[in-house]
Amino acid sequence: MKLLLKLSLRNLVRQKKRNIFLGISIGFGMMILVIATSFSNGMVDVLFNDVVTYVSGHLVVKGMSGSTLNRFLISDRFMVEEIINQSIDDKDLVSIDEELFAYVRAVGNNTIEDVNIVGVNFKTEEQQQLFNEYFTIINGNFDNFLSEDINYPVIISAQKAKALNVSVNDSIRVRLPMVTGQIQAVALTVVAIARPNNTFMDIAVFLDNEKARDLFGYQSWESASLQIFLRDPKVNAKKYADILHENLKPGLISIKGNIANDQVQLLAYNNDAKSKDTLLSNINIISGDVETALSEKGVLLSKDVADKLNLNVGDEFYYSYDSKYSGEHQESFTLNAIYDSDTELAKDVLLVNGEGIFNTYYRFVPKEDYWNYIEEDSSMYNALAKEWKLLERSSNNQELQQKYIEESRIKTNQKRIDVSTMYEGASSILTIEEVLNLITMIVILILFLIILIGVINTLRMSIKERTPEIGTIRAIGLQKNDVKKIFVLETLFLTLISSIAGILLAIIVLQILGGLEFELNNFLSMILKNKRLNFIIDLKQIITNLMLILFISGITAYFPAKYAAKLPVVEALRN
Amino acid sequence: MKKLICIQIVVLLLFFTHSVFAMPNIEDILVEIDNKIRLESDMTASVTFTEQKPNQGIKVFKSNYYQRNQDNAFLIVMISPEVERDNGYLRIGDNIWMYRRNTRMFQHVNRSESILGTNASAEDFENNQLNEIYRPVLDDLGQEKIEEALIGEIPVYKFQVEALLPDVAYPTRTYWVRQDNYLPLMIEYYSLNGILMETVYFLKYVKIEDKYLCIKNVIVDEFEEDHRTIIEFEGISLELIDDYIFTRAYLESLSR
Repeated sequence: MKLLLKLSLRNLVRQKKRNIFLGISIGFGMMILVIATSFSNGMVDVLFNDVVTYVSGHLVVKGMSGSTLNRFLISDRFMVEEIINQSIDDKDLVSIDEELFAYVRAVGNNTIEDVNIVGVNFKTEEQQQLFNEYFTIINGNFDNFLSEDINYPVIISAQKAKALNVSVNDSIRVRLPMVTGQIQAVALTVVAIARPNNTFMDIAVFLDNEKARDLFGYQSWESASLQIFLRDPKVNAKKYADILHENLKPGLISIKGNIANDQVQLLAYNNDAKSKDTLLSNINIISGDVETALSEKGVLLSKDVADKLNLNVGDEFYYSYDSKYSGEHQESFTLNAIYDSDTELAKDVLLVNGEGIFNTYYRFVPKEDYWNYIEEDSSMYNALAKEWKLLERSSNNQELQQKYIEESRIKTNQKRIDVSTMYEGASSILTIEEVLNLITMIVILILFLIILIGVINTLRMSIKERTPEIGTIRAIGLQKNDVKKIFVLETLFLTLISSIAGILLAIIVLQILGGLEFELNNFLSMILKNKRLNFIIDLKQIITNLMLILFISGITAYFPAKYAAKLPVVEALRN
Repeated sequence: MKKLICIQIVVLLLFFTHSVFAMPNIEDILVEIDNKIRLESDMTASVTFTEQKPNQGIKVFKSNYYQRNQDNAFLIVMISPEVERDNGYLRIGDNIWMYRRNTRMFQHVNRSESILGTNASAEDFENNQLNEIYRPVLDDLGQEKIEEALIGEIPVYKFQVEALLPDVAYPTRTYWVRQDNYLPLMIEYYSLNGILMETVYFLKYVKIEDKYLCIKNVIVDEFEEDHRTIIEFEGISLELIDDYIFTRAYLESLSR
């Protein structure tokens, strides 16, 4: 074997010119491959870890309301968090974070800019470390961020600070819509100016999430939406989204409350014609106008309760119940109709139109909900209003957007809850990742083609030139197999040496390119980290690619080598 | 001397009680404002929005405005500039849609959302009853916050009202209404935390039949300095408008 190795190395050196050209081709290809994969890895790292994660989290649970679905509100975040915790294995769950943000008009020193106020939690050391990973404070003091003595302390990016013409301790006035629909105006105090490592974060103005919650008008038990961060999100995101979606199925709007100390269950019916028909087929209105009773403010009471409380159509009464977070709540109703029924609705039931109760239900979440005796598959169950509308899962961003457009056309006070993953929420970014992977794959294929053609051509020439030599070495005792091995080894040596050279060259090129600073103000700046191109050299990937290239070159060399080995000795010597 | 002091005290008390009791009730003023300016017929007009923004010059938007009395519906169809032509805002019932000619799409918008990026919002074109939305603000003694004041040389009542519902964009308003006919001359809009956000000046009223219509008002953005919008009404007609005007199909058909 040693002899064979020696012979193949000697042959490589003998055919210097041709082998150098082939070696350069393979080395160049390998260099391009390493650069392309490192660039792709770096870009995916920026897009996936920095952008996707902060745009949509790995999983998002959104509560939406308002005419344009632009009011994000989860009325009972503790309940949703509990469902999330039940749905996701502890080992796969990293964190559940609130997503609090608002695009606002900000007035600095004689300048006006749009900024994005983002509520963040930097209270623990771990969270502060995370901040330091993404930001470098260039002016001011991070510690003031959590100060209670400063009016809305914020950390602002250097770019926004420049645009707003503000420095540390300056105020920024902002006008923003609150979740309640009211307009709020406050002065924020700049406590630090930071340089984010990603231009994507330049627009953000960071505010402590407790203060942001207060500013945006959320109660402590409410949230805009919840972002869930997972371990191994590419594997887990969709799986857990489906489980979570299943577990977030809403129950009926059903409140355990009282009218004048008499226990009465409040149920709500849907506002659509089909539901109203179903309702009318289950009850018999014995007093009052049907149309008014089924209007958006419709209120119906079972005969039993009406008789017991001596209530008549047109009477005003209070319905009180214990809310989960704000004590007892009293809601005033005017009775529109009294009904009788052969179903369970004949019990102590107050029926109201869902549209008339949704807002109250969300603002004063009931402490005790239903003692549910209506079967889930029954038509009556479907006619009754649910706590929220759970939107169907979407498979991509297009579907997600279409779903939101269609939902925004439906005028209702009912909240919609949607569960999405990064694959839907930020699918355009993930498409970029796919494109990058495709480009890398094309580079690899081109490289393989170069090797294939180069090796075949070189070996063919080599065999032709060295036919007498093959005859000679066969005549002095070398076996067919040895001849074959010499040619294969020659190719493998050439590939290995040139690939290693290509890898070393690529590392040098990456060091140079990675050191260059780019001042970009367009979307391309999104792929930069600290204003530099982000390259991630994956040694495992390089070794795998190298092995693959060696394997291909070996296979490619095998067939011409076999042909050479099979040459009859006499014929070869005659050549 | 004692007699003189007593007379002075009585005069002062009389003056004080007179000035307190002479003040009209705010709710009555709101009702009177509605009686004076709230139309009870359909209306068609040409509306011009002139927007002035710092560093952006002056933009002029012209539109046709249709208002149906029966259900408080309205339609605004843009005429110019060309880029905005046939875009529109339609309100039917509680729904307000924004229509974009290019995409041929209707999108729900909020009442408080800006029209064309100006200071005007759909809320400004609603024909609501004031006392259904606002109630008087009371001081610490439970008295209505109302006082006499002057705008230029015109005597006015200045009073504060607050929204009855939690979703009104500016929950507090200060009205400055003429003492002689209760027409508003100025309204200040305050944010939830009491910051002055907008001031509307009602510059010109015309009397049509028995109603007063403000045909020129200026909305001054108190948050963004030098940002203001002038809204002017012209060619007002109170004739009945065909119902088909207040349909999405009509708005869509304009751009075909």
